Amino acid sequence: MRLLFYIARRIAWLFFVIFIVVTITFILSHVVPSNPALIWAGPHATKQEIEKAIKELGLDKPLIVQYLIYWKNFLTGNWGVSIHTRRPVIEDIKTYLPATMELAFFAMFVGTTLGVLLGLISGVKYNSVIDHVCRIVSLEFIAVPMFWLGIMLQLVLAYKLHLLPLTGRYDPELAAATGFHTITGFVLLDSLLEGNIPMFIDALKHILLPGLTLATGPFAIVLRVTRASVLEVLGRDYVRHALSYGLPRKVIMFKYVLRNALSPILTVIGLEFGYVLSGNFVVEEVFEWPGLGRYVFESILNSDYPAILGSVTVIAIIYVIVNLIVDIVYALVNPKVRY
Amino acid sequence: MILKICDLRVYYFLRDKVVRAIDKIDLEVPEGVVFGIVGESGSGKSTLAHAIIRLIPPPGRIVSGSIFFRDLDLVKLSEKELNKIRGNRITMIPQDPISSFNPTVRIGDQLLDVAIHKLGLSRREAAKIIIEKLKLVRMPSPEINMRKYPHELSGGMLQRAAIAMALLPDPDLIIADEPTTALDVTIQAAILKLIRDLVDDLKKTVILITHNMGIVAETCDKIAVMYAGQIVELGDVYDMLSEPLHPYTRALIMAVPRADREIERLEPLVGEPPSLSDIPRGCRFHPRCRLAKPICKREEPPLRYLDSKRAVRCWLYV
Amino acid sequence: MSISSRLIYWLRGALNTLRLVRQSTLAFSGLCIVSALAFIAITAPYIVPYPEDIGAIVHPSLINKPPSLAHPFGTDWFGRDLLTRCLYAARVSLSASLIVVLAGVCIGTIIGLIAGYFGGIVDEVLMRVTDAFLSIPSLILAIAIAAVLGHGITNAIIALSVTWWPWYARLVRGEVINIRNEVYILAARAMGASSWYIMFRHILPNIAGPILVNASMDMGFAILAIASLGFIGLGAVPPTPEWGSMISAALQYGLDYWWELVFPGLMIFIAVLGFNLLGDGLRDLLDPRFRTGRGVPRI
Ligand SMILES: Nc1ncnc2c1ncn2[C@@H]1O[C@H](COP(=O)(O)OP(=O)(O)OP(=O)(O)O)[C@@H](O)[C@H]1O
Ligand SMILES: [Mg+2]
Repeated sequence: MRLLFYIARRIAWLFFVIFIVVTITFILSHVVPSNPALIWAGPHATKQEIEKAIKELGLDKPLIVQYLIYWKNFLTGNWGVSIHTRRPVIEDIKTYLPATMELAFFAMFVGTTLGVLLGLISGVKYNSVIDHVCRIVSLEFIAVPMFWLGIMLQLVLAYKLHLLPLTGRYDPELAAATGFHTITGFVLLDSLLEGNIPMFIDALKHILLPGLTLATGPFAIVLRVTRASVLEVLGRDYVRHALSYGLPRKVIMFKYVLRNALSPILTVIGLEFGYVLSGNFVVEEVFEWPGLGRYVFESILNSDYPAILGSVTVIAIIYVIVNLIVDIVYALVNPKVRY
Repeated sequence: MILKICDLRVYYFLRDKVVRAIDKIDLEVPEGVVFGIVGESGSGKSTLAHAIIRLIPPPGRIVSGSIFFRDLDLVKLSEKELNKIRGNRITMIPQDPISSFNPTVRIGDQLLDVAIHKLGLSRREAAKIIIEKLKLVRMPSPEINMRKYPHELSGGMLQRAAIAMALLPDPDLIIADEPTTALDVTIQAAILKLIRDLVDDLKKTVILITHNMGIVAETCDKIAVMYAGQIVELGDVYDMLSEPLHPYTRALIMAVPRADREIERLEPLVGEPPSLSDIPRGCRFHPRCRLAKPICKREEPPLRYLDSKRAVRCWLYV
Repeated sequence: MSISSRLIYWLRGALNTLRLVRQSTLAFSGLCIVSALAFIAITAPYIVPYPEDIGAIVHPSLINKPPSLAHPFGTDWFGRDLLTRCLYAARVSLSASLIVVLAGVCIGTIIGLIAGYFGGIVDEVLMRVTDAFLSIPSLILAIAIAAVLGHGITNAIIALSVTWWPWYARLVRGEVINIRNEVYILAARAMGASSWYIMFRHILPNIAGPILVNASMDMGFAILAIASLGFIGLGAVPPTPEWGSMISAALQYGLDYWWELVFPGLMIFIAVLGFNLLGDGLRDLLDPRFRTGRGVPRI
């Protein structure tokens, strides 16, 4: 019951944040620019196009009416037309979002798993060689710019050594040869479900470099947080109690230490998702990954504001939803959570 | 002898000082007794208990000495060999039951961990034994409470769960660190009786740490009195209570009000125990001792055996 | 206290801090990197080998030449010396990041002070908005703002500043609430000191430590953010050298001219690492709570 109440409160919060995001984009598109019609219709718009934008957005009406119209458009999926693709923004987002999400989830999964495992080892083997190596590596991963790391990996592993594909999401020829069609938009998932193993391996090869590049962020942060949390838990009485019974190492490490160290790790996983989503904006460009990040990159080149604002709104909402899920999981794993 | 401690020293090495929590302790615990260890808070009782199973956390360390469990020197054993003794032949009842259970795992599962991993039982057998032991320590409705998380149980119930856990592997030696502090008086008496029975009927050995002289008188066969990281007096409980020698022991016993003693003879202890990182020269008790002589300020008294059972660390008896 | 004794007192404190910083190798290397960068940033126009290459200039004979003695970092697509541009970019990046962090600290401190000090409905409203901002990835928000404001480093700075404060607001508010009810604050209030006076005189000095630590770490992240914005075309406009936009421009020419990709990125990496190390070290110094590993058993 209390859990349900808690979830309801978190969902209410979700709506509040969406409200703030939409308000910010409204301010950015209607209040900040001196000529909002130009923002909406693009810098090279004809007179008619500008007239149309003024009418559609109600720019001749008071600001509060414009705001309400903006909300109506937002809720009905009328997010404007992209200036460089000439398609409705919401259609473009539907096309590009799955690739971004696939990359982001892949990076989160790899980074978090490795981060938790190495953080646990680093904490348990406190002050050992492996601990020092982990700390230094994580410090450096935090400091390295993602797009640059991506370029360097690309330069060495793909361009010079030809170990992995340079760019793209999969080999289109292979896709044609094996008759691959994506249903969910997640290539890895679809190829696996269809039992198309060559395609799956090809997609895996393609996602490896951008995925690992993006994974460095969550890896480094999760490692640091796990280590600190594990160190804290190791000093607790219940760990000593378990140790005094000589329970097997594995049981103590996972059931007594890691399980209790999990709360801060979960919190940071939610935050890291934002890091990965921001990273998408630069990494997708480097690896020509056909996702939303690359779409925004090109929109910026073309001063395509409806596309930029629409994409940013979607990314922000996804981030908030992911954090909502993390919060709920947090409440579920922690029997003592104070809502 | 089930346990023989020789010249044990355990120090905590802090950044700017050394806390000498255990300093030159010699102790022999015979088989089949309840051996009481009494002392004020901070005198090093828990540290001694943890040292026996070698769980002194850094920056603490066993600096020197040996701890013989039967004929094994626990100080010299490898972790692996130690883990065959911990939770099998020696178990411990922790001082604070509330913080000593994993908050994210049900109580029953924590007991199961011990039964499954240390005794190699199947889940079903383990559950049966656990219920049995929980009934033994008078846990109310054990089947239900097993399925609860630690924060859903009271301190007293957790205390009993901890005791049940210590009894699970049928150990030779149980170290009980203030096992009855969280219990109310009636259950306290029952638990103490249980401990007595373990020793009397099953010939187990219990080291009972407490600061309560009443519990000592009721339950223990032998006691050692600790003061500032050292043993100041030890002997059979009857001798100690009827004729305490060390001024500190006397003060402890006098502090317990009794009907057969006149009020005037209550001599309260004055002052504070010394900081273990800044121990006074000479006898550690001399700043609080009414009978202190000049030598007490200069030299530390040795622990002197008056007969085969009784020893005292005081210049009055040299 | 006289001026001179005050000065001596202050100097002694500074020396002590320096000694402590030296005890931690990592923090000390961070301090060295940051000092070196600051020196480069301040003196860049005078110490770079080819000052004219900072601007828009083409040396047709030098285009895309690999590193050599005359050009240790090689030359770029206009034949300009890359070392010159990389060093000068430190000036651009560091000053931009400094402004972003300072703006973030100022806005955040003011909001946090107001929320924490007045409490009640003011606190509630301010903190809800702060939390909402914290619930949105700040770089993504900055991208939207910078895109609307238009290209240019100034707009990038504004965009980042606007999104940088919520963290500080939370931090400052927390600290204010912690110490609001301490005796000396209550005493100052009872003696009739004004709210603003109390805030600045008594509360700010207490929270200077955590702010300093976070600001140092944040300098690193601000450098990264500026570089990322530059990379996606929202930072400095050519010919102003800026690490992120240098890499992005070089990428247009493919991966063959590796030096044009490697060195600017290396500069970002070193700069960010320097500030992170310094921040980490400062935190250890100022807040011993973070020195973990006490009482940890070996398992
Ligand atoms: N991890 C530690 N680090 C530093 N000093 C410690 C640590 N643990 C214990 N000590 C010190 O060792 C001394 C003995 O502590 P110990 O816990 O053994 O006392 P105790 O007799 O069990 O007291 P109580 O009756 O309160 O449980 C105390 O002075 C304490 O401050
Ligand atoms: Mg104790």
